[in-house]
Amino acid sequence: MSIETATKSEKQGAKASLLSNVNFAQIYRKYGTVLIFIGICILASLLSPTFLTEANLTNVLRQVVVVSLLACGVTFIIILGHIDVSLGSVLALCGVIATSVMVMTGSVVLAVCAGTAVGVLTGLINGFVITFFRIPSFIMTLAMTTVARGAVLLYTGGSPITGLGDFKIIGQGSLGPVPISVLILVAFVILSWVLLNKTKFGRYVYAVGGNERASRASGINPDSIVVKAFILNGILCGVAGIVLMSRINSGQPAGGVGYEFDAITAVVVGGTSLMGGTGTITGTIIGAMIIGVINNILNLLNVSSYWQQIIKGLIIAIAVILDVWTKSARNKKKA
Amino acid sequence: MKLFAKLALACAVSVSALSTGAASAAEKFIVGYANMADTDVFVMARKNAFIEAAKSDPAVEVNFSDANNDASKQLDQIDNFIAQKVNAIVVVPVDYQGIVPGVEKANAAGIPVIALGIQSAGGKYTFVGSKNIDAGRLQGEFMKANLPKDAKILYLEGTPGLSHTQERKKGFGDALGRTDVKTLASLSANYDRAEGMKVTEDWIQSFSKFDGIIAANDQMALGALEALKGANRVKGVLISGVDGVPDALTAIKAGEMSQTIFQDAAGQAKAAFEVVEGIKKGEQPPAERLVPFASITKENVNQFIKK
Repeated sequence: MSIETATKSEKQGAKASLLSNVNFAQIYRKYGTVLIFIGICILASLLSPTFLTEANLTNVLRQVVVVSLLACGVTFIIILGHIDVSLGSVLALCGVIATSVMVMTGSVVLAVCAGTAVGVLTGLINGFVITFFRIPSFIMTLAMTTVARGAVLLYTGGSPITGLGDFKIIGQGSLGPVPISVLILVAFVILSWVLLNKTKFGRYVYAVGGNERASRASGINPDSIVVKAFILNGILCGVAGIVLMSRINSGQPAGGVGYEFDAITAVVVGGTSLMGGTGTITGTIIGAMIIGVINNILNLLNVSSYWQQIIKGLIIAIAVILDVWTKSARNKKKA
Repeated sequence: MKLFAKLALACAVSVSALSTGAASAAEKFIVGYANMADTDVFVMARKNAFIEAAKSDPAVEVNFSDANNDASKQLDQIDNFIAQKVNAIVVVPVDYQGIVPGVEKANAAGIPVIALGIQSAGGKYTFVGSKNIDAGRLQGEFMKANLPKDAKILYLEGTPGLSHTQERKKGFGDALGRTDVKTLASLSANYDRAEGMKVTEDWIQSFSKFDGIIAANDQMALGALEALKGANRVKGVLISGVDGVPDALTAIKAGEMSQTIFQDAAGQAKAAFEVVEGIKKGEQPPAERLVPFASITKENVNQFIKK
């Protein structure tokens, strides 16, 4: 499907939905995640009087920053029809290198640059190996998971890096009532949104994810798009790592384990299809907020950690079922 | 590799024979030390302490192996020690269940086994180490003595499904034994600093007042401390962790954390070597040689910072 036909068929889809009025699948496609988010918030405020307080909402925002940053990056990857399971370990590697540079030089700027540079490098390696050797991204990033974790353990000798000084401003400071980490997130969300919606790169991401062969035929170089997306993803991993290590005020080589799970869940809950070709940044952010609110309310209600794991798993399963179901409903309509 | 080891052994034996004169190869007491993973900071510190302790007796020679966290590799290494007919085996088991065949084989070969730090689920051996339940107990005793009347507390659990997570929590509950103290909530933060911080931030929102946070390790305790600092609620909250990591010691010295529990690597290594010496003298080895955890508070933190 080329870009032109993609937009045409979407327009047709929109017309069809207008004509046939209420159709659950269509509504879910468009507003589902927002409705679920509002529903969960209402439920949470009924279950706990604390939930809707200003302090708690700021708290939730601060807590979703790291996973949201990762989710923004991996949205590009998933729209391209790829996957990245190395987010958590790459985050740890970037964050620890940043803290280590901070301790060595005492400069926040150098620390941030170093952490981001490591993200760029790992993204470049992932993207290059995947496109050059035609390796499934799942396998390559799985390999990167253990390599990055091994590297960070090797670098630190397994013990945390401490004595970070001013570094903690990034994750703990605030400008007025707004945490700096939340401002960083907002900046990167806007950047990601603009890249995906307002640039040629973004349109190519959809095109390559929708149908790689067709995109190649229409003159796009899919490999270069994939590599660029992995580099962008790496940068966001780096920023997420810096924010996380700054927040906990120490470089934790064992940090970030399983964060890729939360990030990918956020993306899928946010309506991005794991098959590639469709997805939005706004959806991803709402997905991340849904996960953040659920984590928050489960803790506020003191739900046992055993149940929390089960509930999180069910949410991802339900989101994927809805994704597949609404898609098949739409396809049937087309046919 | 094996040949090299044999050569090295031969050299060591001949050198010691020259130096002591009386000692011959037959009189050397050989210990096989099967380490769990040389990459683990604590486990490595204990191995180094054992090497130090072994220097006190020139008639004892220690051969080392490293299983790198692989339970089956560790069994092979124990087979090697048995084939070499070592006089005693010290093993830091990779896995509580996985080590059993190795212990049983050594039993059958008549070689005494010392399990260091972690027990074995079966076979005959001497356990040298600390019991996790005691770490929790020391936290409980401290809180019992220091919490105000009608105190409210929160408990940060370790990773669900690990035996030491359960034991530390149980030890704490057993020793606290105060009916006026109310546990507001108990949640897992997977021994992780970021998660400890997150859970505590949520607690700060739910509970307007609490007097103590007890964590199953120092990283979660330090995460809780960061959360309290962010909300300006450090004052009046007793925080306790386990491990004695440098950050926790600094926080205790600064009066921000109240307690941590120190697992004594050197003490465990020394005790293990004493058991080895006992076996060498022909004594019947005990079933258990416990090395107590040390409770670190503001009063004694300085002596641990120096180490």
